Amino acid sequence: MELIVDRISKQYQNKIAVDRISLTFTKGIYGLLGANGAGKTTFMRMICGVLRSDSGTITMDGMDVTTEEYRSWLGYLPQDFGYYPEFTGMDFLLYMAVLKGMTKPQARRRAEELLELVALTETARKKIKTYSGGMKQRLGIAQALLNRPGSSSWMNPPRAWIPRNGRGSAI
Amino acid sequence: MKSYHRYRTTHTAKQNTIRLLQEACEAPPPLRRDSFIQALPNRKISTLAFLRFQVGYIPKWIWGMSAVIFVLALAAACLLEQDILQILSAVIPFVAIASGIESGRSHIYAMAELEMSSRFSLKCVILARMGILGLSHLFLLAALIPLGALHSTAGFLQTGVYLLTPYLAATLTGLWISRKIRGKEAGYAYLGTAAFISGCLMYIPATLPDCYQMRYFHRWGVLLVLLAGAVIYEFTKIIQETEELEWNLS
Repeated sequence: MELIVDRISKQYQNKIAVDRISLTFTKGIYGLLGANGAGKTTFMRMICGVLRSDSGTITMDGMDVTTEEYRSWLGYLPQDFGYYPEFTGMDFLLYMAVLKGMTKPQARRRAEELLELVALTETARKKIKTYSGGMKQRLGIAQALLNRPGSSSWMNPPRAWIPRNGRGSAI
Repeated sequence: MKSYHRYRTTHTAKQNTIRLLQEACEAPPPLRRDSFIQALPNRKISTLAFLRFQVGYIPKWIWGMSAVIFVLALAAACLLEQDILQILSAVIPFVAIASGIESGRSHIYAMAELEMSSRFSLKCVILARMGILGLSHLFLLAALIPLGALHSTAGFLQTGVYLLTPYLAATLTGLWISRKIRGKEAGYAYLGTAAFISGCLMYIPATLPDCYQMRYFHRWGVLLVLLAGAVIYEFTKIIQETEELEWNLS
């Protein structure tokens, strides 16, 4: 696995968020540190194909990040995410699993497995609005692992995880 | 026979040894299980199955509202002796507003970013939901237009235009709201718009009684064509915006 970021830039009106960054990620765990507003989230979003870069390319093993093939490999946990109000924890995972292209039986099996992994089996049938902040985050991690992304999971931790020196992080 | 007996004895002994080992030692967790499963040829959901799946995620109250409006139209046609066209055109904006609500739902509940990063992206989700709703509205209008034509002085074509015009007006404002207002307050804007269009359609015939006359029909036709064009434009804008997360640092 090799994710190649080649001279990507992103500008919002007169503010340059990401300026010609080139990096190569191979298998492993990486942390991205920087001051607030340094462009970490923008960078992550471009890697996940959610934002388009103004210039440069991002490819994983030759696949462009904007392709469906890449997205079916991707596991992504955004900094902030919501849920439809009628969803239980299990509904949320089943919904996300089908969006990731899994069939219903596959989705159910994998959702049960992940709910056990993040210790939410007992509350799987409860509405997400009754969950605590930590439980919602664990559910977010579970959805990022639904399609066994392995080498291509990107997590943008919530602000509560960020150390007190004011620097954010993305893994 | 002897060799078979020997085979049975050895086999049972083997089975017993395996069972005893399983009881005595816990099996280690499987190595590289995820990469092994990922390497297997995977069955993927078809587009048709995805569409069927999305039907279940359209809120029940949207289906309920269409059903209630159809029943109300039937009741009005059976029980009232007056022209029901005005009633039908006043309730139709509440059906149409569902399109706006569905197109903005992912943003209202902050699901857009997650949906964008999935294999079936936000664009597919919105296209699927709007397609399903559009089809259901087509069936509803196909039932309401003949009903309205039978119970009013207007002809079939006129009834169609008088019902489609408020429908498209409400759809247009609904789509515009879903592009401009991204929070939960969008819900109030949708309902307010539907109520406003509905109120106008109740009020205008009282002040301008001739507006449903045949001599003004061509104006309705022009308005309908303009609205249809504007709806197509708004819908295209919405689809374009789902290709990238709207994000700014201000």
